[in-house]
Amino acid sequence: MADVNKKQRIDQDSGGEIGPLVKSEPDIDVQEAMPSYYAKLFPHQHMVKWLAYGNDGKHAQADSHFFNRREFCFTLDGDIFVRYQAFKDGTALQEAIQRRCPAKIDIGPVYTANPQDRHKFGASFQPTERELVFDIDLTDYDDVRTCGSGGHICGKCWPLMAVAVKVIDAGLRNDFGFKHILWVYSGRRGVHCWVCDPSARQLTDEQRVAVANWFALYKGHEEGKARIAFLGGSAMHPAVNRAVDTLRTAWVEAILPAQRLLEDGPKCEALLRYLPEPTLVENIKKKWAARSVTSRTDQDINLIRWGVLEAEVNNRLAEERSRSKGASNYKVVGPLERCIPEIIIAHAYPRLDMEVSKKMNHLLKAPFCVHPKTGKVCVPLDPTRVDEFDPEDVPTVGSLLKELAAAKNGGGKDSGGAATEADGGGCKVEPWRETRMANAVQIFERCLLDDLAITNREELAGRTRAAVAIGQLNLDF
Amino acid sequence: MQVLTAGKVGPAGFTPLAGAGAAAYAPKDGDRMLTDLSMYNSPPSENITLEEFERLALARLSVLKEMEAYKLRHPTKGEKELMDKLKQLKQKHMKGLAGISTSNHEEEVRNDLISHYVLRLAYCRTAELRKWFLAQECEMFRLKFGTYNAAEHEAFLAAHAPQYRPVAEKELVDVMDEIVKVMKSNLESKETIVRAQQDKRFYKVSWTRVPELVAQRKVLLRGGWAYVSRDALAPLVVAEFRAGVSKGLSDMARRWRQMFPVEEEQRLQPLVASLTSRSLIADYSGVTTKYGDVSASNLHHLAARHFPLCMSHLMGILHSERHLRHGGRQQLGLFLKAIGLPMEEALLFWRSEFAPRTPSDQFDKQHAYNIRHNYGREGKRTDYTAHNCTTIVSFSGGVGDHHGCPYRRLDETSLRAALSRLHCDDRKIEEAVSKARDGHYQLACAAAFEGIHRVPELDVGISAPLQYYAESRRICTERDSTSAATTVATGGAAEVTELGDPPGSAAGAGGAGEQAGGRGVKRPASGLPGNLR
Repeated sequence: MADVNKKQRIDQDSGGEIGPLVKSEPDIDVQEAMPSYYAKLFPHQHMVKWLAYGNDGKHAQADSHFFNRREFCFTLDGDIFVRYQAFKDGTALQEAIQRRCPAKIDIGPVYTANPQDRHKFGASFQPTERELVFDIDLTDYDDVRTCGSGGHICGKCWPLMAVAVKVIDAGLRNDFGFKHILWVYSGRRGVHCWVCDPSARQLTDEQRVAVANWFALYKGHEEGKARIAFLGGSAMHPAVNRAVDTLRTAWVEAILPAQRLLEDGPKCEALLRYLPEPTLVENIKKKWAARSVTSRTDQDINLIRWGVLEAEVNNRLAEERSRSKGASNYKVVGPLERCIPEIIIAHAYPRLDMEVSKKMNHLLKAPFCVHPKTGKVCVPLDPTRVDEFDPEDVPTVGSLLKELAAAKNGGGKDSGGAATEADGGGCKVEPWRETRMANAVQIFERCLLDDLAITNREELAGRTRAAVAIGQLNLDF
Repeated sequence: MQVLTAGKVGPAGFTPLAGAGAAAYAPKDGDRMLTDLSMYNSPPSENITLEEFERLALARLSVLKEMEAYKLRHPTKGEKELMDKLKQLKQKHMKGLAGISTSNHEEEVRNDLISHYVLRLAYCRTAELRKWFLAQECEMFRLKFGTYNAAEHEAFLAAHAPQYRPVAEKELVDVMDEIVKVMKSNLESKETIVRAQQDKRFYKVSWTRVPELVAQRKVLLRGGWAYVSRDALAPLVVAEFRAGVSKGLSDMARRWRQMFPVEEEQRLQPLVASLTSRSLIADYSGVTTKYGDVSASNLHHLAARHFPLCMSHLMGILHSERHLRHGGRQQLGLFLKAIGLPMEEALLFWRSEFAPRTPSDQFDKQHAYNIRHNYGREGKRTDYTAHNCTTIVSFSGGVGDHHGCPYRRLDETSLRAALSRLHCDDRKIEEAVSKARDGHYQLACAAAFEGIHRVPELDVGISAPLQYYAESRRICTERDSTSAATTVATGGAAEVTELGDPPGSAAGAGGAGEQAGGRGVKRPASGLPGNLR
């Protein structure tokens, strides 16, 4: 049924580099592999366990219709969107996925009613809850990365994503007190974040806008410079300060050397535009030139230059401060104080796709989907180990199927005993446990599901208490 | 709460929550804040008489309306002056209503609560009414909340908004540095920061309740709590108050019909519905007999001196075009009846105004019935009352229609011209035009009144043409008698020209019509007696 011309092949994508584990022929057709992927590799049960939030259990307060009110959107081959899909339970979802083999699955909100009956309810059909989500995409960083652009992603620009994860994750936990936060590699060039705390799922659109704005220090581009939220007068907001500290470390350790932003060229010129005084820029350039002649260390040129830049700004600041004590020259001191954090924020601060976070009913691609162009699986990320993540070594549908086949063949030798029964088809162990998908699912469990189960139980118990309380009060409003 | 005719105990209350409300406003002696401020989280639950029900509602309505007028008139007045005015108005309207000692706090709380909820019921019915009521109530709340000291704030929040938790001193030591950083980052003044540090009263509230502060990074967040200083608290609590009342209003609107017990519906619903359109000014029906001189022959003369613009405008149009369309005939006709024009005179007046365009026999066929009908002599024989401002302002009409409120319907140039023909003071013309521009038509009319009669400000906006007329008659009569007395005393030549006005010029107000239709005949504007210039 599929139009062959529309099919995407892995090797068509730029780069053509395939992770070291993929030794296969580069022409595995993603769409053709999807039936096997959904049959053997996609962790249906984990997904359902997550999205049911405890309502799939036998708890007295469990809402058995909860799962059925959740919207799923399937993107079928040929970019056909099928919105407002809803399923009674995990089995129905799994059946539908395997039957229709969507190229992409999006998750929407939980509505007041089954989305498929939405026409019956008219205006009373409204979204009632939905995870707070974030989408960060490397395409938004094209002006500050030198390694590539557009859909490109590599080890050189991953530090930008890694620090974005750290900054947003820390903010969500420390400032907002959220605990159940799932980070997912989006399959191509970015990351997604799902905040699953009960309170986060209940947020109104206005509150979602507030969170998005809280994080929005980067406000787009204007006249060749990033527009940055006002960083404050004599002090920075503690949340901003924490973010800048995180960024500063990542800046010197990874981003600056990897992106080579201070080597002569347009990116370097653009960076120097954030300095408030032209004479300061000239001084820095002179020092840079002198240094490159005399320098004989093998230290990275970008780091050397950054050190010089920072020292010059600080000298200038010290000079200005000693000149007059008091607030009289604040117009000079302020911009000098702010320029270093501004450079770092302009080049490294997370650039959120705000629209995704603002509305309850925005769709977002489900974890464990397969990117139709790259074949990469949207695997969960551990935010505490996000630096170690290698976007070029993400399991692809092709690599996983290979591993699966290898496990089957070698199964007799390696695992012995029970596993050999897999041939007979009566085995309870999901096939993906034999592949690298097992790691991904394990991160999913450790970073989200395990703690979420406890919260789900507490929430259901809380519902019982609330129900009892209402019964006693006999509220009739 | 139930509403009873005095003495009789009825069965079901019309507000459903019984009993639970009592605790929320249980007053303690000497607790000022509990006597005059509430979040109105729960409706009252007691039996009151119909009389008191109405009296309390009207009293609160007077306070709200006069407060609004005062604010609009004096946009630059500070909090303290506004608060003084509010106290004065409450003293004027609300005190002693209960008939018990005025220092009785319990009584005050009760009155406050009941009057709020009755008005809520009356003002929940349209979006326009809800908006007005909400704005006035929020303003009153804001004013009062602002006058509280730290201890009062704490007690109020504990009683009404427990979601705002005071930050314990120990915890505050921990977060104070960060709070100061947040304030500095938002360029708060040194004084504000020092004041906050010394006040040491901070509250924490779930960040979800302060999304505007979060969106602008104006607050310290820790683990989902937002830390708010007492200074910054007021707008938040007001916002919370607004949200609560707003929700209450829309809930009530949705269930309006169910709010009344079936057996009380007939009695209560019209009463509540009428509250919003009720003129708060004393009954003016007395004017019909008091001056006793309204006849077809002196109508144009009266119009020039005493009619509000909406009526003098119609008089002018009628006179120049020899015709008025239905809306205009009703608006003017009912007003003329209200000021005491007898039916026979009315028939005479309309007949002569409609001639010669409408011959007498045709007039009898087409219009006489309607005039008699308005006087309750035909058809269902209802004694119709004149429109008030709310009704007139709501009128809209086509090109040929001239009824409705001129402050709303005329463009600014026409309005200026019309008012200057009425010899309105220039400064007041500008005030009226600007009020009209902002949609405060009744205040615009009041400004015009002041400008035309050269009087200091009226307490409230004009609420009915009849009120305008009655005030005008009263003022002029007082003036005439004083100035007549002076004339006699000095024995000088009569300066009072009123009686000497030639009949022709009495139609001066007709000039107002020229602008709207552009078809008017140019007339010399005159008609104002010299002693008012």
